[in-house]
Amino acid sequence: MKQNKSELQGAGKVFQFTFLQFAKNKANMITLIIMLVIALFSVPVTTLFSGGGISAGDSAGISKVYWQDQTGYSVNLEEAAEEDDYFRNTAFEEAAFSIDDFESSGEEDSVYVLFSENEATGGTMISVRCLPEQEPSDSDLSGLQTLASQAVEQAKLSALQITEDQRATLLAGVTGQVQTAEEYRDGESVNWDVQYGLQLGYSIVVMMVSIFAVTYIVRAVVEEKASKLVEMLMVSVQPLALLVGKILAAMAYIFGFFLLFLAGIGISWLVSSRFMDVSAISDMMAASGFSMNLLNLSPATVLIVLISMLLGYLTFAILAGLSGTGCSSMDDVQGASTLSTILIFVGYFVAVLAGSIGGDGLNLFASLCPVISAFCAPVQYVLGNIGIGILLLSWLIQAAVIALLAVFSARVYRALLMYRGSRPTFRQMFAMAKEQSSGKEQN
Amino acid sequence: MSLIVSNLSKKYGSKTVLDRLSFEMPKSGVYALLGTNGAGKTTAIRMMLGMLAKDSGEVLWNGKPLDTATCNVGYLAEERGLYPKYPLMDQLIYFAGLRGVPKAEAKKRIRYWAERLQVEEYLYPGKSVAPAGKGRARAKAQKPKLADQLSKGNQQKIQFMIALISDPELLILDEPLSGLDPVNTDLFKAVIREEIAKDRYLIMSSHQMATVEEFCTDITILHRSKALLQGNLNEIKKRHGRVNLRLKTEQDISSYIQSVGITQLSEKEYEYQLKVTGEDQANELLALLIRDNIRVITFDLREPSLHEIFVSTVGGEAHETE
Repeated sequence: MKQNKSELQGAGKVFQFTFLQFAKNKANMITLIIMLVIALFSVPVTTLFSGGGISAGDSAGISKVYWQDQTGYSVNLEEAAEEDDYFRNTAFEEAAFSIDDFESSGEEDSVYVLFSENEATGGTMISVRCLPEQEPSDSDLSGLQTLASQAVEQAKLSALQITEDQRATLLAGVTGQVQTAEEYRDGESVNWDVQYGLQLGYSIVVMMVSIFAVTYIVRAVVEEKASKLVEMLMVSVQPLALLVGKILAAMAYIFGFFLLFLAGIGISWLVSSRFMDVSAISDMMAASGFSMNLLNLSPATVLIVLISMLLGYLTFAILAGLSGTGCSSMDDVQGASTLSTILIFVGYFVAVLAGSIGGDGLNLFASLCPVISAFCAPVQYVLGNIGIGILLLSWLIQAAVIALLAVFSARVYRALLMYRGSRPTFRQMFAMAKEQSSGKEQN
Repeated sequence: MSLIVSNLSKKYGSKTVLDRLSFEMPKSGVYALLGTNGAGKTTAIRMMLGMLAKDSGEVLWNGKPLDTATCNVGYLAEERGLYPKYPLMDQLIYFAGLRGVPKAEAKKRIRYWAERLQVEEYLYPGKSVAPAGKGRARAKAQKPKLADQLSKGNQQKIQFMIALISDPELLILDEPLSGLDPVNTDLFKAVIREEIAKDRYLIMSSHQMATVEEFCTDITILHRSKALLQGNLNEIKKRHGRVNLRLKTEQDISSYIQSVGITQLSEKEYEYQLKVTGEDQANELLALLIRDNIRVITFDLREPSLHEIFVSTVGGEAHETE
């Protein structure tokens, strides 16, 4: 069979119609709305769960904090509060009265903080007392507790007569890194957690896109066959155009869906940052060793990721189209998705395994092997584990596999569309392709 | 314009499903493909339209291979279907678009055919007035109908619209009237007549012989993948001769029938269906009846119907088709 322009004539109409029906589908609409709601709430919820959430623009509602130090470390709460913007409207005063007299001597909306020795542990006890029926908000109390703890730590370190630099070092925490000797020699700078996390994250995205694609395409193809529409359609449009139109429509819908999801997260970030301190999220990412610099985000990187995702998508989408065409009723949808789904999971698990184990050999294999490379190649390139040459070779191999699948589809798709009966085996499909190429073909 | 089908053959493994089918339509008209179940009619149509690969043969439209991309074909398939959950209007515009009809023009044609086939209420749902409490009524826009909310007959009308929407020059109707009630059958027949009047090339496959006889000028009777009988319907009938005699009298004439050697097919209240060898035998019987003063109410000597030709051609298996 010659593939020419007329083979694809009408693909645009099929694309338009299929895309609109995807968009109008109630189940798809509900899924989209749910995902958008999740995206819009993602930043504030994550911020709250990661311990942030105090508004950057807000200040504490406590008018005055009385404090008294009985530890002997010269704790100075007022000095510590000078660096905390949240308490900019709160007055700090070393109390001239005891905590027991606070109820009678304290001003309205004030609290009393007592630093004393914890006799049971030998450490420091921070007691915060409020006036009756004037209990501050949880965020104010939480902020005050953090501030008081910092003040005690500073006082203890100052008592040891250490310098500012030394103190900064002591408070900076400890980060662990385990490297192989090979990584050490190569000057490997990205830690394992980040490599693995990046590979895992990307693989999940590719897996989701691919599974969405398989589901949509198989359903669309089987629906047409089961509804006995194929003959009516084939008068107007060639089978290959039907398949291509559907694949492109599913791709546009799925990628549009993910773009909207990402846009939702972006809007959530922008809006949340006006009312909340969202730095907790970036702090959390930084603590895990992840930084945007690592992704080397540039138009080229975005292009590389898009091309890689597109190639992976096309591989699974064509397979899904072929599997779907072999079905004669909607009952067969699940069975038709099985092969593509298995391949997607194989690709995903091998990619995650490669991200976990690492090593030049495995990275190279995972980046070049069709199906797996869709999950691995761009991540390995971004991490610097493979060069541009290997990435291009990976794309070339994937493109060749897609071209072979497309030629095979073009040969058997027409016969499969007219096929009725139990789902054909691959052997039967190859026989169909052989028959089509042996000259028993129209016109 | 002309349509030439020559030596169309198809095998599945060792089983031949169509064996060297050939026919021509040198001018517009109606061509019927008739046959028992599984005779190869639908296979022939699918091969003509390029849906099935041919083992051999060709289909020429104006001397060039028939290509649905260049020849404006309307097709009502035997296996009928619509997208069950999509709005009907979307589907019609989609199919019109696939046949190259611009959206605005498609909408005009949909409006015309919706009125002609009496399905406006499903395509252009108006506003229904529903009570809205405390005695007030409020107008509520009805939702467009989906295909699975329509009766089978109305679905068939939508499918017929799809076949006609591109204003096709070649119209192929596979069992167009099956499953329709008498009112809708007449409606479809009227539309088919209008299409014939527009000088369309129409190919029809049907089991309803009376319908085929009403419209067709030429036929092919297929049986077990082979064309058993082909040609102009009138000529075929002439070849069979005027051998059917319907005779109505006021008394029993069985003895006269036997004496002339005529085959009696049936009798009900002195109305006889007879099979004669020709006009001479029929006239001989009539002469005997006149001679004996037997009153003849009806004497109708006619050619065989298509149904009779079909049955006599394909033999005993034909009873499956009705």
